[in-house]
Amino acid sequence: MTSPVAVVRSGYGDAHQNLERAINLLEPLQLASHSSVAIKINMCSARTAETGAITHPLLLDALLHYLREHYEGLRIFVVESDATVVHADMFIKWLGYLPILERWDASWVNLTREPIIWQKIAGLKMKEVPVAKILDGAFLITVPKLKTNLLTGITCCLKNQFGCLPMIDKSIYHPHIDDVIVDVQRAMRPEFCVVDAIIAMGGVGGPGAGVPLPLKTILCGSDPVAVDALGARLLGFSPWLVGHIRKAAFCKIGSIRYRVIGDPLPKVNVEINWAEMQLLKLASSIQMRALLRSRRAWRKLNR
Amino acid sequence: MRVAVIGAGAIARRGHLPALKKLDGVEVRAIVDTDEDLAKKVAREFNVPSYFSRYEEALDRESLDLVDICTPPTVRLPVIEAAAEAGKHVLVEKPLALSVQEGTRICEVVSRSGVKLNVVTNYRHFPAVLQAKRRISGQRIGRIVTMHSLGSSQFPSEYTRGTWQYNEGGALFDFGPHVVDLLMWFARTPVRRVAAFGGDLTRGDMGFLTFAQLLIEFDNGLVATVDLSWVTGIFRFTVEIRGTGGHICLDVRNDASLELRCFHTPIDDARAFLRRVLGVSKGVIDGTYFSGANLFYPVLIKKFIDSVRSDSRPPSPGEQGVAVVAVLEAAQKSIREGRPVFVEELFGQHSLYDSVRQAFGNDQP
Repeated sequence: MTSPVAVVRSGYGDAHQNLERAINLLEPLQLASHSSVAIKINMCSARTAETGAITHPLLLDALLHYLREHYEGLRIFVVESDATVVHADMFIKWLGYLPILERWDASWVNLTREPIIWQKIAGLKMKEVPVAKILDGAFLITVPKLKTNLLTGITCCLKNQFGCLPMIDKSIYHPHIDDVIVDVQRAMRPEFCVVDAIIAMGGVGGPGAGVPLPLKTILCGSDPVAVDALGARLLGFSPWLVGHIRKAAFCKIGSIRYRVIGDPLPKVNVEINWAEMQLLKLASSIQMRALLRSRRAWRKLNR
Repeated sequence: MRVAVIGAGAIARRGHLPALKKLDGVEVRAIVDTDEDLAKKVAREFNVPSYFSRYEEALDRESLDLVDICTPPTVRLPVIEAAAEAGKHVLVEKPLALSVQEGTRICEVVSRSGVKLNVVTNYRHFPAVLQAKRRISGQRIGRIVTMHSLGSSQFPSEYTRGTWQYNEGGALFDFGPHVVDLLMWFARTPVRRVAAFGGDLTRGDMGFLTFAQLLIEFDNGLVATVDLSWVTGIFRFTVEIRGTGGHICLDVRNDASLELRCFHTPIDDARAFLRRVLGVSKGVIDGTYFSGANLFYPVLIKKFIDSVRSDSRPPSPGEQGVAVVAVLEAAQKSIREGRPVFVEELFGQHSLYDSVRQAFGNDQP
């Protein structure tokens, strides 16, 4: 089975028209049974939008504009959670999102500060997933940035949902990251995906410090696995070799086979030195194991 | 394209004439220098049919399309005026002028005469510089936040018998035009104000600047520093461009660059060192290294001639030259008066101010 993924070429200035065009290429959003919409952005570090590290506020603006134009009376939340290096409440101010939220009457929600419910799942690694109550019953739209990621190869829709986990110290999951990403989808699978690949990020420095890649493209779809598979291809990866995409496909979260509709795909040099990437991956995994070991030792000492 | 070269000093002999001789479809018809013996000698050396001691004679007696002006900036204005009014296109060495007033007058004459003028900006043509420009335009380092440049050159007496540099501006107007041009070319946005410090570090009484430090604020908030000197006994031209998405460290003279992100590690240094050693070695072996920026006169002149033939905008038009001169004059004024100087002050109500502001583009943050 193949899932459709809409591709439109766009800049930030004309993102609203192009996003509308992309959404119209697909089936209409099934919003009727939902009273609220939660939009998960990617705000992984305090780096400005043109670096390709975070969801660009202008794409969020375009999406909110579209929702307000086509659906009346929706409660819209823009969500993100704290993480080891993310102070979400500060970043949302610093990075220029608040005026946009105000303009379209959307609320900011830091998932880390929300009450949670534990949702039982039959996961690869997790048996229950903490889900912020506010996401319960909401139509979930993920708006990730398309980037390389040292840990997972690429980060797009599926990895963006990992950021919905409300705990700050999400790095404890890094040794089993592919499994955990898949498990998170069982509780918080996005119903629609809008990928900011207008300025994507390539190179081995992703997700924080890679090379900004002006792909000038928006990807949309309702199957996060298919959208991620196309995103992986755009960044020079085979989706079958990206652990969390492959596992998500095997677990039937979505289809790894996609069908491109809309504009032709962009062609760009993604500037990945594979040897360097493997070397950095190895160094990062050694660092992570050492960190976990020292944490365990510290806890034992304080018990 | 029939050309006369006016001024037969070092820059004409080392840069302009060899380049003109290399270009297809270009014929150097005359050489002019107030020192007639020198003009004659250079004409013989470059196989040029005629030579003159007065530029008016060359303009009257030769049938020309383009005049290549290599005279010092102190005596340039009447030459450009005469050439433009005679309908000849003008290629002019840097700096275009020594003041905004002179620069704007040059632009007015050129515009009135309907000819094209191009200022020499040969440092733009180093491959590492072109690559940096492409990377900046391609948004690889995000939005530029700061730039830091160093233009340390030897005392001019070490490479020229010319004396025009020993005016009040000194080191500022000697190598400053190259550095400021690159910064403005990278920034693509107008300069708002300049604060500068400088003086003469020798203990004699030179009466001109032998070093200067400039702090340049651009309209979009970008800030650049420029360190210029004649007295450190070293030739170094470096620019560090710091963007929100990465840094580019340019060693212009050695045609090398280093792009940094996240952490600056010894691996980056080792890689850059190897690239630089290989690049310089290759240049030494094929002899191009010693030509420095003179190597790029052929491409620079060719691009200008192409713009004349196709009636398009020259690669570095007069307005860009004036924009650079405005920064240097603002720096000179800032040193003299001990305060930051707004570039706008130098133009007053001049009608050219807007086009000079837009000369390098207008990148908004």
